[in-house]
Amino acid sequence: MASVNKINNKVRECRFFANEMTQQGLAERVGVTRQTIMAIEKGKYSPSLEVAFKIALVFQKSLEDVFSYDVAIE
Amino acid sequence: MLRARVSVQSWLSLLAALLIFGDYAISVFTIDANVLNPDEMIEVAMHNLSSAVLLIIMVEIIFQSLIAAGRRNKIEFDGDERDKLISLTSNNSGYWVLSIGGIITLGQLILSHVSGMQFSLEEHTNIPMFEMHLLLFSFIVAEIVRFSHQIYLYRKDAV
Repeated sequence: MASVNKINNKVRECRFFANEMTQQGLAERVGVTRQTIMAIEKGKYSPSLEVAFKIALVFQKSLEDVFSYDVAIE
Repeated sequence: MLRARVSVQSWLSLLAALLIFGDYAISVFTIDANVLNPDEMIEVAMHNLSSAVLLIIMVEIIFQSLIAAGRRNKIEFDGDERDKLISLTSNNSGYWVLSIGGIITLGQLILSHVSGMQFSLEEHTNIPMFEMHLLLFSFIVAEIVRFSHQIYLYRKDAV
């Protein structure tokens, strides 16, 4: 029995509710590249705690509101 | 589609490494042992080696200067945590190739000089200073593997 862990996020949704903030705008405020924001949104890259906190801070939300951790047992 | 300045840098570096590798390989393997005497062959080999090393240094300086001149902000130029992770992963691949090249070179030296086995690739290939070429080849191939892996990771969004 293997467990598949996945970090989900609502960055795209948060950007939408933040006046459709652009990926570039968010990237500049967080201090990463636009490509990294894109990879995070697609779920291809799990950011460090620091970047995750910064993203949550930009949207004035808690970390749990933006990122969630799923443990799926297969 | 080229995605980030860092991946453009990888493409340029890969292209440069391939060109240098091609030029170097052609010049090394086309040395005609029947025309040149051993001293001349060593001179030609040294010339090939030094020009390959010089080319690598020059190309790196030119690319880095061009990229620095075109940079928009510090993050784009230095890269962020994901760029560093990609760089670290691809460096690891390059390191393995270089290590294997180093071990093969060492093995070849040990076999031909210590264990008494009279097997030397230099005699079979007619390439003077074969071990040095082997090391430089390993270095260039390691660079090609490093940049290719970097591009793969950027394009696949694998990290």
